[in-house]
Amino acid sequence: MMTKNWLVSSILLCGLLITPSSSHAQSENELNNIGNSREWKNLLHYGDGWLISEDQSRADSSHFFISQQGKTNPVSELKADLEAFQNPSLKTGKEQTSAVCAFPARRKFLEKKLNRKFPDADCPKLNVYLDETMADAVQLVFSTAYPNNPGSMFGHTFLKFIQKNTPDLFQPSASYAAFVGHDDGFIYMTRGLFGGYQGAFDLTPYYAKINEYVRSESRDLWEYELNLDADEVRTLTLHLWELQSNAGFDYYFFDENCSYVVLRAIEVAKPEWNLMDQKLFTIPGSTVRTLHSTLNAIRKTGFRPSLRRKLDAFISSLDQKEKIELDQLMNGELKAEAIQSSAVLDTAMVKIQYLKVADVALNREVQHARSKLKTKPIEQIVMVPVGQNQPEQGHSPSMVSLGGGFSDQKPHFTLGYKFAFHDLLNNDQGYEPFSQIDFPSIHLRVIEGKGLILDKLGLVAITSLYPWTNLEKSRSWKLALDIRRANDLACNTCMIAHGDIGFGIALHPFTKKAVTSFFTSVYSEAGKALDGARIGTKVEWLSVLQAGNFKGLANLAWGLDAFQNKRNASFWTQETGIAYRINKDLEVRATFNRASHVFTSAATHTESQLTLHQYF
Amino acid sequence: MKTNLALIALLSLSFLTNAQAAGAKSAPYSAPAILQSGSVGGGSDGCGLGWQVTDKKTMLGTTTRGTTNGLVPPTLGMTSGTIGCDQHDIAKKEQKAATYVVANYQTLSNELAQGSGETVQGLAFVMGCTSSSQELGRALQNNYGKIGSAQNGFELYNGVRQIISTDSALSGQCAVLN
Repeated sequence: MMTKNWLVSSILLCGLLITPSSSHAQSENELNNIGNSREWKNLLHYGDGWLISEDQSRADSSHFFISQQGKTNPVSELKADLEAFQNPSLKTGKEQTSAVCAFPARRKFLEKKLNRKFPDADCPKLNVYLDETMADAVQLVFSTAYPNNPGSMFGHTFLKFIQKNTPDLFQPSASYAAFVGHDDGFIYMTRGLFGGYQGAFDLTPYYAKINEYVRSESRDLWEYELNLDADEVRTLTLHLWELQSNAGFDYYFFDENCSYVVLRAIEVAKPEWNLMDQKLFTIPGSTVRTLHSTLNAIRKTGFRPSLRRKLDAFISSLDQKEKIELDQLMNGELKAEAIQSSAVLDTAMVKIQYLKVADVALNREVQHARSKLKTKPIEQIVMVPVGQNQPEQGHSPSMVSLGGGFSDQKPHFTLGYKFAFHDLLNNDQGYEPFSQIDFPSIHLRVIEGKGLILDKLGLVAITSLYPWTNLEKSRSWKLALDIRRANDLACNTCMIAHGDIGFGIALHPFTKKAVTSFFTSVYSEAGKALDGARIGTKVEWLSVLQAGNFKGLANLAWGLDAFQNKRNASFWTQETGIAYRINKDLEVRATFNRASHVFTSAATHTESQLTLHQYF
Repeated sequence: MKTNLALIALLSLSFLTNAQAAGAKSAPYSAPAILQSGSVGGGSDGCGLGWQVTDKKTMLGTTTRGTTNGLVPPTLGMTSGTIGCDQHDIAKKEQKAATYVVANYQTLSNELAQGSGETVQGLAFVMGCTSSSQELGRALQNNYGKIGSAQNGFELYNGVRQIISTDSALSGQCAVLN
């Protein structure tokens, strides 16, 4: 209905504005200018990639282009499109429809740019789509990390259309994702990194996204309403149709991912934001940060707490007696009918849903008992606190650092660079607390006599300190892979490859601002300086505290080497660090590390450092 | 340089995957979880969850809904979300409502026991009920015995429509049932 109104009004409008000329022929010069314009190239998704560096379109489906050369020649595509728009009987795209049905955003752009009107065609599918998605505003929705999985800290973004008279649950939501089928592990990662999957949009009501993220995966959703006017929202809607029906992209986890394609689509609607000039690697959290802080592109922000966050709030609202009743109910020691507090029953239902309890009978018993109490649901009484993991509040992903210190009493300067992302001394504001996920980094040193030397080349480091509670008995875990100096060998330039992996239990000791954990880990190291390899095992105590702008860390480990006699087979290491966040992207750190003989406690290595870290 | 970076990342990520104690497959941007809500790619516990998606039937659908976030059930095709409904003898104008109830089965059955909530409001909306959602919620809560033992979302939907049709205040108030 709305669609038809729009078509009618645009015909009227154009009729008033346009003085029909006998010929629509554009000069070659004009065509060249438009064909090479930023707006046109945006519509065709031209741009550099990490594996593609020529100026060509990132869209990989031939349906997306009418011209044979469309993928590499935007002017040729422009000419072909103009001809097709002029001729509704010409069939284009996957669905073999008129070009005005397949590429309505290109049509809109060209009609405005050339001040002319193309003939209409009957587009039943496009009309159904527009009836569904015609919106007054658009939100970019960000889903935060999945609990106990730092790998998900990058987040996920999708678009939600806001229609005035539609309840939130039914707002159309468009998500760009890869179709991964049933591949597992290694194949999945390889194909994902090298573009082995096809990405596509799916369009669902928002409730499907809530079920997926908030309920099934227990992730918070942050909703950012974009500063787009009605015409820009319309352009975005039309362009998504082009992408959805005809585009097809190879999906690359690191750049042509959910965030990249969504950003490109927004850029079509709002070229002034120059989103594609931002960064090669599109991390969803960075996308939000850029839109929010750099471009002032966010009109307002909303929040939907995860199921886990709700459950925590509901449990905290119960008094001691109610908490005991809840436990007894869950353990089968108390019947639901015997409980008079609807708060207990409401919390039990959320708990069953969160833990995915398979006991259907228990769920049913609680529901039946609850239906007899006519009190307000707990959800309408207890306020669920807003999360601290708002991505725009967090630091930027990349880092450079500069500083100095003493290593075995000798002074050094240090320089560092990290590609991404978040470590245990970083302030947790904007991130999943007590988690680390670090991608490639390099640290260099200047020392007396040797000049510039390599200190450490980090490949990956991940830590998840996930408190073990009554509710969830989850193991914490960590792993690291790097090339480092073998500082126990009293050799400044002896490099060894190091890998370790550990599992443990973490607890909140007295406050939720701290976590303390016990790990058992195994490590393996190899290098020339070791004349081979050594493996060993460690028992570790690791604690982290966040207090305002301060973050502190302490790690005490007892290690035992096997197959190696270059150092005392049994040794202590201790690491302590404190970081102070000066502002969102600037931080100062002091660290002190020590290794010692396990019996005599005589130090075999000490190192202290003061560094300044800038994030960007 | 770019390729090196990719190799490094690849290594890291395969490590990450292997380290998943819970066995969930991991993606760098979002943690995947195979949705438990039943029968992706098979089975038939309702309308809209996970089977028989064809290009024809969902306006925007393709055949599978595997995403980086795991396998997402093809909940929909917005209005034309007709997935699997044929088998259950659901009238066309009710398909959107049935799809909704099946997709939100657990949350909705909880909220119906409580008598109100956002999902209950959504039910009133999708069924086109002119009476307030409080009224609908109250009536369904009072008759919870009739719907509370539904084995799946599909049975829940049938229970709900039956209560509405037989309730003196609600009958005739919800457009999709008229």
